[in-house]
Amino acid sequence: MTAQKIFMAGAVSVIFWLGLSLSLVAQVAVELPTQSAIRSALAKVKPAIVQIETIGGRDSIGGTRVTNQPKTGLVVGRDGWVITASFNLAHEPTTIFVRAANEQRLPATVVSKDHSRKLTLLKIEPSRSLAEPELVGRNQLAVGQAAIAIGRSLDWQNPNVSVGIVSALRRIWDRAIQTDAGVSPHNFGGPLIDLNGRVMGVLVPMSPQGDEVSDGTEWYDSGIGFAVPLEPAALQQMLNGKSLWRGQLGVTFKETDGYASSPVIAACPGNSPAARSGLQVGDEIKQIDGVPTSLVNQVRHALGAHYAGEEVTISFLRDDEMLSAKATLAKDIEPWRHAMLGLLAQPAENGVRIRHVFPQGPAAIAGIQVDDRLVAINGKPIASQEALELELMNIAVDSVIAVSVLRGEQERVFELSVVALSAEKSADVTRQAADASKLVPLTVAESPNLCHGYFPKSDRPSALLMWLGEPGERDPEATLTRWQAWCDATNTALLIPQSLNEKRWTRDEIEFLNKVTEQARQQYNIDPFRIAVGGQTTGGTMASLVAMSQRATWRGLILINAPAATRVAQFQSEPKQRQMVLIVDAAAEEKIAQQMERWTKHFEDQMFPVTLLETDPSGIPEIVTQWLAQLARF
Amino acid sequence: MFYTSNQKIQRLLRFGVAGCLSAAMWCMGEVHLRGQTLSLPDVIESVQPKMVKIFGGGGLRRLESWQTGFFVSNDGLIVTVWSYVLDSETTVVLADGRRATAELLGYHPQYELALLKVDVQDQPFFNPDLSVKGVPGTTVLAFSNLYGVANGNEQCSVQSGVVSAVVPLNARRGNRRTSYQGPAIIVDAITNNPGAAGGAVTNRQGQWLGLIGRESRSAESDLWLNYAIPAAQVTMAMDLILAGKTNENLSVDREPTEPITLELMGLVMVPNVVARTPPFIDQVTTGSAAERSGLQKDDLIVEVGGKVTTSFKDLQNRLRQIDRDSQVTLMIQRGDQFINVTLQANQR
Repeated sequence: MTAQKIFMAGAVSVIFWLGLSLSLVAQVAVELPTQSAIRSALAKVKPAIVQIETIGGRDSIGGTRVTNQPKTGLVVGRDGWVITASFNLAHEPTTIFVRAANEQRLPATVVSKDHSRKLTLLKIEPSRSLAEPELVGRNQLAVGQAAIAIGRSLDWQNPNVSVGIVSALRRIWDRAIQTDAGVSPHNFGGPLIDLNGRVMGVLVPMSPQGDEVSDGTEWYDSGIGFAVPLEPAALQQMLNGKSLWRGQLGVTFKETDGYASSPVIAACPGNSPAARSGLQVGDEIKQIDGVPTSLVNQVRHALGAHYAGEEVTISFLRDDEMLSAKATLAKDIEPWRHAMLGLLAQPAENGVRIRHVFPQGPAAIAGIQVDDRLVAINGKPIASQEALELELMNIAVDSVIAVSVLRGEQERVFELSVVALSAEKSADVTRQAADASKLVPLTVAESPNLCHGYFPKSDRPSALLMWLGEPGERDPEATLTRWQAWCDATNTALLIPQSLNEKRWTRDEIEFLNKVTEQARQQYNIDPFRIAVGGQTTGGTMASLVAMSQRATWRGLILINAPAATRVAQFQSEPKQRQMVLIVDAAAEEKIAQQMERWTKHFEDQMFPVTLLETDPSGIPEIVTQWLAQLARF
Repeated sequence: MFYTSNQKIQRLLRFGVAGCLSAAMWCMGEVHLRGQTLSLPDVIESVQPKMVKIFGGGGLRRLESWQTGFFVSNDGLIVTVWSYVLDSETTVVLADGRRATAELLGYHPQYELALLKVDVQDQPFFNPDLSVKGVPGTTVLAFSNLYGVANGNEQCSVQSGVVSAVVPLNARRGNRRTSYQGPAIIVDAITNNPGAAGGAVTNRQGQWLGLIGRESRSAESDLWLNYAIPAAQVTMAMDLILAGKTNENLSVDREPTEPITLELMGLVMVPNVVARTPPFIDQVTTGSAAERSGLQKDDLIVEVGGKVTTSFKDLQNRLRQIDRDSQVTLMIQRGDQFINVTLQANQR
């Protein structure tokens, strides 16, 4: 609605402009589209609009059913170059046909893709030159000018049209023109034109919520649609067969709200373009290519239109001094390897108490002992586990650091070489035993789901495990019977939610699971560094979605005889999220074992510390609670 | 169909603001830039007396109990969509607020249209003989009582847009295809709303173009369709209803009683294992029509009768439309080559 209100305001002012000073805006065609104006604009671009048909492929894209309806494309080169929305081909068809004006149906091949603008370039071999449309640069557009969206999906003879105005420019991090003309699968891949028949951009589904190829398709008939301008330089690269990606700087900001926080760098991993250009933690980005950036989201906006491989000039503030650096943006940032000192910590009055030192770990080798209190790293005071974690976020694996500890009243400084965070179990950890308690029901307002919680009695913070059983499990007492001894022995709280449907967990339930966990954290004494979600078979797959839905909350993911959900494959380890994975094969079945190994390998590749263990089913509670006890490792 | 209340409100707001604004834009635009045409308010004022709001049954099942209609004669003939609203006693409310109980003269199930009669004289109406056609780009106005916002002497709501396309209606309501499958004017205005069905679509001059059809989704793209049945088809249906010929079939594509099959042609396809299996030939029966016309194993059937076969299932649907005695034209892909093939299964 907000977008529409903005458009309304824009349109109303256009009316006043018209009435008052027509001559002032003569350079932009700010006039109301008459029937004849629409038809003459359409006639100009019509020969350049093609129909696309496909054979085979998948039957759904991101939950949207693939239909047999023809799709639309736009000629961008007379020798047979055609561009379309990637959404139109996301089902990966076996065969693609393009039907251009005055041509037979011709087979097409995919040449390249623009993953940032969600475009795909196709090539056909036409018998004669195709009609090329005229393009209009995005600097020549104005909000309020007439815009016509055209598709060729309904009728081969006559393109379908939808008329509106340009509602906004530089949307979706500076990549798209917004219009109130109807944009839908009936014209994705077709052009948005002005009244002179010039192409402003290609219609694609776009959404501020995400860059997946089908994000934004749900917005038809909503008064909001998008077209991405065709930039000649980018198009030339695509014609040369080069695919394009959104450029990344590779920084993480100290941010609570992108529209309120100033862009102060919280992390920039060593392999990121930011770090290579000389940027450091604590630097405040003031300008990108001369455009002021006082908020985090202004940085995102300034970088949004850039492709990987492009160079940007960054002006930043370091210790009251303005500096400048040139960074070459990257396609993707390698997954982050978290640093580890080799110790288990515990909150202490001042600093962090060391409750265990891993034998052969960097801390042990340097001479740090149990009961030492860690108080500083590289001279920087560390007052809490949170501060320790934040500091480690900027320490590269293999670097040498100075760790200050208090042993009794005496302060000592040790030099140690940091290793990569590993999930390996360390033997002989003192158990934090707790006293038995009983199950309590937990509910979340306006949610029909049920959840039971078990919170052992202890004056120390408990670890927390959310256990997602098989969807049909309806007896929390029985679940508790299996877990209780180990929960008491390791001071682990247990949440046992039930699925609404007896056959499956659904994605809609993720919100409830996060909320009930938040509630448990508020009511009970929970260690925020040892919160994990896990489950068996489909419960495990659901757990993987939950863990990735709030990565800062869920420090651990436990999969038992369960593959992660397919969409979890896109996640990688990141500086801000110190997540670890435990995979347990308790099935003694070749097929499941292979699955577990595949996912272990996948998580390893994405730099998640991961452990793969085998056990018989009775050993699950022990393995899981022990692993949880060691989750807060630094 | 149902909307959540939130969607309803959104749609309502959208219409309300957009409607008023576009009316304002047109007004200014036409008055300033094209002084010779009637102003938009004048056009709308001339159309409104022809519109009626129709109230009837349906409320019990949480379905809307109202729809729209308009006069097509000066003595009280009203055309509207045939729906459950007309199942019980129907009240018609005229633009000036007069109420009348309507008599159902008849309906045509395939056109999904009905004719009502109320007792009035010298009534403004759309003359079917003066109706006009729309083409993509034609400016249109849509008059309807969408969401039942208008009551008593409140006028129907007006929306503006253009004709987006004119194509045969391929739509469904729930899981069933709509029985009307003739031409449809797809309009670029959100007319697909509860209660809007039976409304009038006119051009910029207020001349009658079509009737807003019942809410349905495209059978091809799954999107909600904003469409109107062209005036010519509505007129044809009215004539049939008045003549009592409501069983007359429309000239829609009928499936032949004995369609051609893959077996008759002599083709065995690659097993249909996934949702959109490409139609590859697995085997050609010796001595069959397929063999005579040169088809081979591993050929991909890309067209039947000039239309792309998007999958094995689509190929089967396509063949179901073809009589076994008629010629079948195929295009196949063999490696990089595309070959046209004509095949006659029954040689007599």
